[in-house]
Amino acid sequence: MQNLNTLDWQHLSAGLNTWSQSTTGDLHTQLSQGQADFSKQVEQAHTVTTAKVLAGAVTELDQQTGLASVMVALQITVSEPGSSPTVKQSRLLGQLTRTASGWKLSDLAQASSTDS
Amino acid sequence: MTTTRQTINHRRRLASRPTADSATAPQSRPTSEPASGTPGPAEVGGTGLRLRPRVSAEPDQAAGAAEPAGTDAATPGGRGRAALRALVRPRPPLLAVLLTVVLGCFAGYAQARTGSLDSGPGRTNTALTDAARTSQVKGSITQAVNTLFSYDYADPARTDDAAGGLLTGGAVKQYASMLSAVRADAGKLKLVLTTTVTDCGLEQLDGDRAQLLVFADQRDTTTGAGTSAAAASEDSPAMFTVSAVLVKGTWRISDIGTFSTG
Repeated sequence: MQNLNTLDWQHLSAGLNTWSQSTTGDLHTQLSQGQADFSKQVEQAHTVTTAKVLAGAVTELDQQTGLASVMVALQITVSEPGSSPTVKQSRLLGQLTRTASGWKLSDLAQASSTDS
Repeated sequence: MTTTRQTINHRRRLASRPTADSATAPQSRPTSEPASGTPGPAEVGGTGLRLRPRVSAEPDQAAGAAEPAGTDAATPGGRGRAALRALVRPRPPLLAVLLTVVLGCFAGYAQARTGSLDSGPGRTNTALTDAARTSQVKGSITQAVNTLFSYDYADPARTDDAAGGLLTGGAVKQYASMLSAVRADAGKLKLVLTTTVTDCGLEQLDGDRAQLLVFADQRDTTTGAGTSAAAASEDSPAMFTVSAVLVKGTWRISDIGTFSTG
């Protein structure tokens, strides 16, 4: 958990590997594809990003099909050299899929606001 | 929690509202604009539970930390908003950073959660495994939150009446202080506040005690206070935790946590 919550531009590849191992399906593909660009961006910006789970709950669990839905309240702090840290809170909804090596995240989105 | 600072700021905004409306329209109606054209979900700024009309969708947590108790009456929201823009717009990479960190963090957390559900005997958390009760408490609390945090200036008694049967313990006082800001200005603003729970998850269920995580959308509509034209309405996202206890067959809210100290 601790490793996953923190991403430091100085220890980038280790962090990305951990994420890669925590995801599956489409999400895993997306992350892998974006990885090179992403690494470059983080190194250029010299950002250190820390996320903290404030609360979370599993909303659905289907043991038979190996699918689960979760909701998480997250707080994210982004630090950049030369500016004060920015703190945000996010509402996230995700889906997990059971794999041979445990539950992995297969989908993730922000909870949408009712804009209609 | 609706803090004193929030209340003060709210009052200041109200005080400055007619000016803001007539002079600087962009300030008064930011609404829910997309964070940027960048792919990926938009960040929500302040997601604390708000029980007050919002003039601006400022990220309260970010702006609040730096804000010296509201010296700048007219633009606390504007400043927070500007900070958000500065963060997101000119430098899209940052959004990618955020998104990916969120993904990673979420993945680890979610694994831990489901892992604990799969764990062996001896647990006291029957969330999900006790399907009937899980459904019961989620339904009750969703209904309770929708009722408690919806307020119509024309019919305040409806909310007041409901509160008695839906709250217990510390939540009674918490709720009263949250609602006092609304109550104070509701008549003048012709305020109608509607809260809709969008997601409700059970974190913990142990007999007659439960802990839930709630995502809700709050819409406030004001037609008073100098707004001559159309009614102003504003949506804001909220997230908070609720502790509940089963009292004589009814789930009551015993504590409300709003993550406001982040």
